[in-house]
Amino acid sequence: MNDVIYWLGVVAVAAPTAVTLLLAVVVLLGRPPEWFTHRLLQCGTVIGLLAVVGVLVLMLVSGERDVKVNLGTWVHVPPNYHFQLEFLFDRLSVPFAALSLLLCGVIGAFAARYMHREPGFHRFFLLFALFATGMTAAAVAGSVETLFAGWELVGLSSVLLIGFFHERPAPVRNGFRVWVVYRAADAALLLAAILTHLMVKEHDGDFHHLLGSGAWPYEAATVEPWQATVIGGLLLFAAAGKSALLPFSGWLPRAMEGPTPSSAVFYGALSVHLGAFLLLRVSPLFEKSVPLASVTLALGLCTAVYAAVVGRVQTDIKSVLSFASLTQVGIIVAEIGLCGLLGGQLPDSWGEALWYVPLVHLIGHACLRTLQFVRAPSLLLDYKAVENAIGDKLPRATATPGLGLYRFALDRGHLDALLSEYVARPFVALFRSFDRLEGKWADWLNGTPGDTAPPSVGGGLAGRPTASPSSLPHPSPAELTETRP
Amino acid sequence: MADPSHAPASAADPLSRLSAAIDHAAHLLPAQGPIGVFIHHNTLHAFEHLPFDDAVQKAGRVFGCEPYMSETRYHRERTTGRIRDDDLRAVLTDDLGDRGPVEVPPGVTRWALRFAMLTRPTWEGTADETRWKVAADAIPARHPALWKQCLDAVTAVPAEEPPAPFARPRDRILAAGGPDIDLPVNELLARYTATFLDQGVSHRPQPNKAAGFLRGFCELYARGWHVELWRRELAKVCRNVLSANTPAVKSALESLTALGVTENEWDSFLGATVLSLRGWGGMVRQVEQRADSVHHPITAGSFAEFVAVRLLLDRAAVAAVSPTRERGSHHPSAAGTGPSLAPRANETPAQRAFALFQAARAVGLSAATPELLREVEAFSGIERRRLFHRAYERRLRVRTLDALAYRVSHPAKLPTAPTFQVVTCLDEREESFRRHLEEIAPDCQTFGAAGFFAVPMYYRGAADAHFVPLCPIVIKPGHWVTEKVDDHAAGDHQMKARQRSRLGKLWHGFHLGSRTPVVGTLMSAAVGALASVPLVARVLFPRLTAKIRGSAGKVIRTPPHTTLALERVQPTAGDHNGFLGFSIPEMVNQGERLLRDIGLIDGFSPLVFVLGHGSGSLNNPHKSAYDCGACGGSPGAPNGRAAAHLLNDPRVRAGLAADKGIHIPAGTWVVGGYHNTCNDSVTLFDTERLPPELVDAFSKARADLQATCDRNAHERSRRFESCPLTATPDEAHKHVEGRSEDLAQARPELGHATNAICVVGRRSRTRGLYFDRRAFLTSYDPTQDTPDAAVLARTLAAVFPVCGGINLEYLFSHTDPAGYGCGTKLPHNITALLGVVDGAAGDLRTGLPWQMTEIHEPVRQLTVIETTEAVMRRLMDANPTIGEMTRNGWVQVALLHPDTGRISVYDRDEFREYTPSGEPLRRVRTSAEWYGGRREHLEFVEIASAEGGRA
Repeated sequence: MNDVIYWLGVVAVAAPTAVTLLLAVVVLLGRPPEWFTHRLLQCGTVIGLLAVVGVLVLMLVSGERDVKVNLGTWVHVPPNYHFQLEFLFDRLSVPFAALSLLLCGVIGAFAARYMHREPGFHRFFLLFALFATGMTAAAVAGSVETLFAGWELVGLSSVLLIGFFHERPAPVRNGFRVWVVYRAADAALLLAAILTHLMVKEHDGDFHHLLGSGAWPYEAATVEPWQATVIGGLLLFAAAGKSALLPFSGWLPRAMEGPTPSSAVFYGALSVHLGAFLLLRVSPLFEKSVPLASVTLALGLCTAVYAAVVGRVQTDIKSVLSFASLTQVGIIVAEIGLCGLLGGQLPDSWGEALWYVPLVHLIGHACLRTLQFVRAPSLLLDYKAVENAIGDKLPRATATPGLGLYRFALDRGHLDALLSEYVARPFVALFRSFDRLEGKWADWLNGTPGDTAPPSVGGGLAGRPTASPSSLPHPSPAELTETRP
Repeated sequence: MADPSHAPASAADPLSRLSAAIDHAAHLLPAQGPIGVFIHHNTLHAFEHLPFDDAVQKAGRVFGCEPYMSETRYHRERTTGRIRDDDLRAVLTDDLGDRGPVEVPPGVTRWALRFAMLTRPTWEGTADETRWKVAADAIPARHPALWKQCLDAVTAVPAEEPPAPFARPRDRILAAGGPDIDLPVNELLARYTATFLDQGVSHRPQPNKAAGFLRGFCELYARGWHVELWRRELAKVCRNVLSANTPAVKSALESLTALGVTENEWDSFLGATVLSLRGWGGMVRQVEQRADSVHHPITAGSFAEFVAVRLLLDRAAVAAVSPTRERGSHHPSAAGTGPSLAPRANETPAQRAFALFQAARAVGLSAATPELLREVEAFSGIERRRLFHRAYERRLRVRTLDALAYRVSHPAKLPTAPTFQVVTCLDEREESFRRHLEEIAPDCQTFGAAGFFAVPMYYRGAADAHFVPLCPIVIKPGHWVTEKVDDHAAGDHQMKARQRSRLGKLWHGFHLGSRTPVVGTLMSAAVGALASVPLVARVLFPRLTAKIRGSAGKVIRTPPHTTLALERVQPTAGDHNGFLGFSIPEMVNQGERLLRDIGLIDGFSPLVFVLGHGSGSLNNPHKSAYDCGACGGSPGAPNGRAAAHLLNDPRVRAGLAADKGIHIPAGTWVVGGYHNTCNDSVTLFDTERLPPELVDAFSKARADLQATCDRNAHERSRRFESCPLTATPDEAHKHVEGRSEDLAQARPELGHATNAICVVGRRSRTRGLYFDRRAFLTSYDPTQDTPDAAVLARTLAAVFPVCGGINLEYLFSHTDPAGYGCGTKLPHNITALLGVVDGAAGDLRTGLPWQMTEIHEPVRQLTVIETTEAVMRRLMDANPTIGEMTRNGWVQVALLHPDTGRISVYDRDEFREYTPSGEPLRRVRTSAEWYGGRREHLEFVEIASAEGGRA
């Protein structure tokens, strides 16, 4: 039985990967007909989905709860670092992988008609296939490196699809903003991975050995509470970036620049839940560390309240839906924190059954929101239908909040401005000063009179043009050799 | 209209002068209203007082849009044969007149030079590309003498400086390496404007909307905590406005002074400023002027307040980047107006020389002179595109007029005693419907009338919440009509209405709840996963899901037993009981108007169908643009039904016979109906009232109409790449049904795309001609018109703005899809229920999406009118719209003489006789034989089977 599950697991990951590679090669070589591209994607998602469902059925039948698919150690750094390509099929990863492939398949079919005759048709599907691969890999990742790989693919394809209409400046600008946030989150995830390896020396980076023993959610962390807090804190930071929790929430509505189907599946359903999924993946950490669980709970609740307040004043349907998504993501994250707090207090079976709540919530929310997103262009029609049904204008809230709260909501809490002014600008300024310092050193070494640093204006994140590298006065090689003593 | 000749007359006081200047700037803004009621109009309506070519070029400069298609595109059309060299020769000869034969360099006429430049594509590129190209082709080495002469000529003739575009402070800051202050300003202004105008997307309306646009804005942004410097500046200016209680125009004047804009710059400055957020500015203007078009209107004067707010924002943003405020910035002060710092798009000497070189080579010269350079530069890219466009239009004009002339010389056989008659909208999408019907039933007769069928009304269906105006936008209806459920079904109706109301509230509550924290959690955690069922079903099986939904919906749908409350008891009209409907004399007038307009005043067949039309599709914010234009962008079903009702009324018939001389025989019955142009279905109303003796004839006619739907769907499907060319009519019909129910379908139908022709005349002039769904066909019988051509006058008064508006909107949206159109609809995001923006946020996008105009051929509509020159000239003088559109060339006008059948074409205030080109018109048996298996635009042919005479 385990062998069958093993091979099904391999198929589940291999199918979308193979499709992505094949599509990439075909699109690189020439322009295939549209039907080829979307049928190929469908094949990948359907085969992958069937395999995952097969795994699910077999696991339910056999009672097997935890199957590892190890594709070997790829890099070994003595004494004890192994890079393992490992996938883990358990009660957390299988439902999430099934959800990912189902939504990718349905939205792929949607996009086949929606994107018909669009000049970027193949680009869309290639990125979409890349996304499906990344989602599957991240969902069933068994080691932190594998998770990171999938996580990166998801981030990359998300950002490229936000900037899909790259002939206009806004999608590129907003895509860049999301990219910066994603990179910050990636850095945190990578740091967490390194720290885990340092802290838990004996093991090879797979979640099992790192974080606990037993099948999800009956795992128990093997790390110390302080270690759980540090690693968990970094992972929470990574999750906050990926799931647009506070203070990164500003990017979520800006990500609506892509075609409707990608917005639907990425920011209504999958990408935006990936952070919450990461937290679920490392659930034992939350039971180990009360501070971590409390912070998670608070962050989730704040995000939910923030998104609910801000969402109520949005005037375009995609922003309304994205803040609605964010509200639920915040609550899911809060549930995770709560599970962590309660998990230790309750009897075991209860405490562990509790972990299914955020998972079920996540899956239900993903399906519901995707449907709402793909129906977003029907808004006028829907409103008219409801008006006709109730025979009157639509009711609107009359009790108005104070101007202050309203302004806060309209400005989306100034989150973007805060990040630009107080994080990005000092960051850029710091590196500018390094640049100037380096310029001075170079001048000193060259013995040339101290020329001032090249003029530069503002920071990239603040929407200002940065000095292009080509405008920097580089000394010519001849100059260098002549002045060198 | 930024030109000074249109500047307002100067008033004594600067505030009223500024007020006039603001109004003046508003004319530049798009005139598209709320998207739920889409009215096609000439995108460049503000330039209609200018000749077409001047207007598109001027508007191109003002809006930064393309005046014509690209030269590459025209060259491609030339290689496919869409433009022939004959056309180029003809338009060039016509354009140059006696300047053509002049030899510019000895031995080469101007005509020959220009013809060579048109037929040999000129390579054009940026300065760097040109340098590369010249070097890569080794031009200096291979043609040293000529190349040197070219360079010398360029040195001798100084380049013409293009006029510097007006520079706003934002442009100067940007040019000096500063930030683009339009980014934060437009983001904030777009967000606030959307909030102020919102018709119900956000759950919380703006709390202080009652304070007005300007004051509401200042109250919001004057206080609070601000992160960015420019927002603190903004708060400061807002506080000033609040404390002094400055009215809008005064505030705008202060801002202009603060920005250093002098009064003679007002027009250019305000024009350029409002254009930087043109969609929202235009919408404020539209909502302000047409308060009746929205649920939540705004106060008059809001546009001036919008401008005042915009200037406050500009002021704050400029103040925040001035050098005293920001450390280490290098841009100069933005205050004060100097010359533009933006780099000019001047051509480099190499670019000019290379253009000259190519022209010289094209015409076979081995020497280039400054004179030749002047000649070449006088025939610039824009000029060449203008000529190409003329040739492009000429080809279609020749094909159309040839076909019409052929019909004159070879008249079609017409049915002598038609078995049934069908009146449809004059819409060009009904051209194929009528043609197929005539092929299936050669003994029937078809007519085209404006789709409101002379029954202008506010209408509310039994299951509708509000009255909707059903008539062309130029008419304001004076009557209200509702649909009443028959007595025996009234109980059922009320029960179902209550159920619908409960369900509607539940559905709405569900949607609002899904966005809130608590209810949303319960819903998504408990039942969210169930949403995957409709998601999968609707995306993967749209047609099947629609059928299931349709059957399920029967449970709550209002019973089909209804009547129109058409007859009024009270003397005056109103929107409540007793005042609804029309009086009998009004009905008589309307009946007469409809029948006389289309020339159906005798020879009635036993059955007459009046079919309104509309379009049903999902996930389509632009749905209204597919509906009937003559019904103000709504489906025209009630108009067809109402027209049938009143023509069947014995009192109306008596009135028509007694006062109007129109005798509808007692054996004639009129059936109202509705043609859905998206899924190609025909619904017929009130068939239970049909006289028993007509039942057989009716069933036969209905079968013919059903078969017509199949064939019409088949012809339409040839344009859909996703429908195989091998599909049978039945399969094609299923295909279009699927399209109309598909959430993922960005092209439920192609709308008015490819429209190019409008024929106002008898059907005998066009029957049996294949016009490829490109011709608006308006029935008009000149032999029955009054001596003063009153019928033609009112017909053309509607045809010119409506059909011309549709044609020009498609033309501009296709010519510059991103500038005049609203780009691709894939990232569209419905905002404030008023329009769409691209993606996350930004300016409101007006015009048509690329998916609607993709297969369009942008040609000005050729309107062929069956009348005499004298009558037409009188109408041009009497109706300013007709006169202006004709004289300025916004439509091409041709006349078909009612008696002689001679065709003349309007050209520079003359009607010149048209001589057919002599190419024979192909004759095929059926339409399907001609279009079958082909997707491209087709030549016009004669269809043998559509000729009458089966009876």
